[in-house]
Amino acid sequence: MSLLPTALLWPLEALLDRLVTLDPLARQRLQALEGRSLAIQLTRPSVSFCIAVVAGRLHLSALQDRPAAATLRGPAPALLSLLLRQRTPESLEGSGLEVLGDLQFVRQLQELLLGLDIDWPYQLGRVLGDIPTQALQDTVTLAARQTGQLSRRAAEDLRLFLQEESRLLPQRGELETLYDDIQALVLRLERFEARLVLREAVMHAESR
Amino acid sequence: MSKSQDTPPDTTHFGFRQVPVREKAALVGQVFDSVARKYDLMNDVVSLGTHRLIKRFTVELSGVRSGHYVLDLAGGTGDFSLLFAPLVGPSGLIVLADINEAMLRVGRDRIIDAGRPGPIEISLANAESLPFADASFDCVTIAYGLRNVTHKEAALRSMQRVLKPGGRLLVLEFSKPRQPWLGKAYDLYSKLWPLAGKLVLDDSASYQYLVESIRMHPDQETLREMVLAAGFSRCNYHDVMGGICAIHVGHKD
Repeated sequence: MSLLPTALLWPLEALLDRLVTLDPLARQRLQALEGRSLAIQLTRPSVSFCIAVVAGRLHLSALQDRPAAATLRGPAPALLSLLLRQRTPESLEGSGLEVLGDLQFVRQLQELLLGLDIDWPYQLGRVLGDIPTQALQDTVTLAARQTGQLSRRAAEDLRLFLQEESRLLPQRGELETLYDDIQALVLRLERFEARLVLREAVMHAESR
Repeated sequence: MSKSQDTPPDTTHFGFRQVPVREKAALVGQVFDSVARKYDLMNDVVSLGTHRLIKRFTVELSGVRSGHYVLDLAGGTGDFSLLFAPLVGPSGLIVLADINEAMLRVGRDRIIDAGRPGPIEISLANAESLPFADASFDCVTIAYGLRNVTHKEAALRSMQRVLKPGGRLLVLEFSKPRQPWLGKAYDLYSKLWPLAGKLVLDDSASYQYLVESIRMHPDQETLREMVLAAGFSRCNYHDVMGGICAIHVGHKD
C-alpha cells in the first residue's frame, strides 16, 4: 500500500479544516453530520477516499474502514461539477456520476463546503494590518470593475466587427425576422399536414 | 531466525554490543534521557519529515473511532496520542505509556500545550508487564519502540492480553528494505545520523545506537511470526518506503 494517497489527502484535509475554522457557523453545521462519512470512488483517475465528520472536523482518509452514509462514484470532472455547484446531487442524470445511499447527506456536505461564509477582508487584516488590507481591497475592487468594463467593451467591439465589418454574423433584427419566418413556415406545414390527414380519411371513407 | 534469538539467554543486544539482559533497559533509558529534549526535532532531521506521514498512515490503519480506548505504547512525546485524540472523541480514552520518564514529561507538556489533555492519560509503564486489566483496549500501538524492548516476545504477549477481542495491535518499526540498492542507499544515509545527533544534541552515541538497533531488529516476516506466536489470530504487514519501515497489524479474535 502506498503512502501517496495519504500524502495527497493530508494537505487537503488541513486546507478544508482551516477553511471550516474561518467560518464561525461551519463547525456547528458539521456537528450535525457527526459520525457520518462519504465514500468517493473516482473512476478516472482510479482513486478512492473517504470524507468523514469526526469530532466536528472533516477527516480525509485513503482507507474506507467504516460503513459510509453515501457513496459518490464517477469520473473526476463530474465530481468537480458537483463541487462547483453546476449540479446538485438530485440532478446527476447524464453526468456519469452515481450517488448511492443518503442523498440528503451529500447535499448537506455540498452546501456546507460551498456555503462557507469567510470574512476574507477580516482574515487578511489579521495578517497584513487594516490599512494595507483596505488599500488591497480597493485595488481589487477597482481592478474587478475595470476588468468587467473592459470585457463588456471588448464583447461589444467583437460583435460590431463580426456583424458590421466582416459580415460573418447576421444582425439581431435579421435573425429575429428569420426566426419569425421559420415559425410561420412551421405553422403552415403543420396545417398542410393536418389537411392531408383529413383528406386521406375522407378518401378512405368514400372508397368503402 | 533473527539475531536476537541466537544470543545466549543471559545476554541481549544493545545495538551491536552484547550486554547483560538486566542492563539493557537502563542503557536504553540513558539514550532516551539524552535525546528527549529534542527527540521530535531529531526525528524530523533523520527522517526528513516523513515520520509524520508514516504515523498518519498508521493511524488510518488503526480503525480507531469515537469511544475507543487506545494504548499508545512507547508513545514518548505524544505524536500518536495527539493524532488519535480527535478520533476517539470525549467518550474515548488514550493512554500514553512509556518506560522513560523524561520522554513522558516532554509528551505531557506537549499535550497540555496542544490543549488536548481531555481524552489522554499518561502512564509510566513497562511494555513487558503492562499494568492494565485484560481486554482493556480497542487498539494498542507501539511506534519505533519495540526494538528497544529487552524481551520483545513478553511485550507482545502483554499487548495481546490488554487488547479486547476484535482489537488491533499496530507495530510501526524500522525494517528491512526490499531492494538491495535501497538498502545500501539507506545504510549510507543512516551513517550520517550520529553526525546529526552530534550537531543537534551534542550526542552522537545515542544515534549510533539507533542505527545499530535498526540493523538488529527482526525483518518483516520474523516479526510477523513473533506477533502470531504471541497469541494474535492474524497478522499482516505493510511495507512503507520500500521496506525501510513496516507496519504490522495484529488482530485478536
